[in-house]
Amino acid sequence: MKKTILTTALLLFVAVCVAVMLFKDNRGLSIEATETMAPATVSQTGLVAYYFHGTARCVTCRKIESYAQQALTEAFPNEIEEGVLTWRPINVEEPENQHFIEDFALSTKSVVLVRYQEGTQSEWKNLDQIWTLTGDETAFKSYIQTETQAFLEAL
Amino acid sequence: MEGMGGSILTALWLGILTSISPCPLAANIAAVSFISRDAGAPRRVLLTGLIYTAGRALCYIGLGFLLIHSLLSIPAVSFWLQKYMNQLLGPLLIMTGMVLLELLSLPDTRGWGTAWMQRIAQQGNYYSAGLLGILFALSFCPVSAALFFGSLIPLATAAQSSVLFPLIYGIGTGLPVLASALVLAFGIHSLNRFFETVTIIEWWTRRITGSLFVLIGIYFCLKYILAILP
Repeated sequence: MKKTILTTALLLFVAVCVAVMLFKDNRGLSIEATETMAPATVSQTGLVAYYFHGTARCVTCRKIESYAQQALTEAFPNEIEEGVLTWRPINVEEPENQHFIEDFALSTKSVVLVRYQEGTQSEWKNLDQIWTLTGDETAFKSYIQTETQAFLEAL
Repeated sequence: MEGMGGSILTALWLGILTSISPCPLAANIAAVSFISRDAGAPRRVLLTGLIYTAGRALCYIGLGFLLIHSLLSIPAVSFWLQKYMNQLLGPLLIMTGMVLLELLSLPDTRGWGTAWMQRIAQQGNYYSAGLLGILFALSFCPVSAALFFGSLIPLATAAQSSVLFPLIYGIGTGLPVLASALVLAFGIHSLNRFFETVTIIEWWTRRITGSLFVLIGIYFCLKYILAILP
């Protein structure tokens, strides 16, 4: 009897999951979507530090987001206050944000620095060492701060 | 040559790093449990583990070859696999676990899905270990995607090696799982010899493996399909 209840419950759960998987709005990551999306811009000259993530968040991804944000707020409070530096977490699984995947050649959750001159994107860099530095908070923050400083100096 | 040796070691380290990072932990627990369930025969565990590792390596070679020699977009492939393979894995693990627990007895059909699950369920079936390796390798999480697509593929492209580097990386991803399975199997084997309770322990290892598959499958469903877990 218990076995039947367990089997039925598990099969029902699987059926619900498959139904959700099939019917929920799985708008694909199509290349065509990139062309119709507005380009990433800001209206002024400044630096935007993007953190690109998905809907499902992993422990390491949250740690990266937290360390990166702390690194910027600790080292550049004035620049953030003045609006020269902006921290912007973005969910790239949202349809309107999917263009960022191709714009910055993202392969996973990433921190990308983008410099804008009078609203036009002039330079960007994917800080791809973040994944190997997550075990060392000091080195991670130092890496983010050094790269950000270099970008700010070129403004 | 020295540079090549260094790059090969880097590829191996990237693979090991992928396997020991927290995000593939759930899949690795399922793999260790699956590989070590023939605990009464450590040689069979070793062979199953090697085939599981070969399955992973084969998958990475195929992906690496396609990405380096075709016009496939690395970002598109990476995000597609991260999103959809993890969703698919949940129901698949639950169903496989149910077969292992004998909650489901599948009809003797030749359908692809049931044939796959029957193969998985058959104890000591090496073919299923290879399939499991391929399936888990395709289920990229953020860390494995960063290390494979962001570090390994550029390394392989620079060295013009679309086979060797993904192969070494694949071996690296399988090594910690293989080592853990062997330690577990030898431990259980010693218990077997001490207590002479082979049948009971094998009965339990099969049920523990099945239960882990179901629980890990539920975890994947809650996280990647229903988005209930953070």
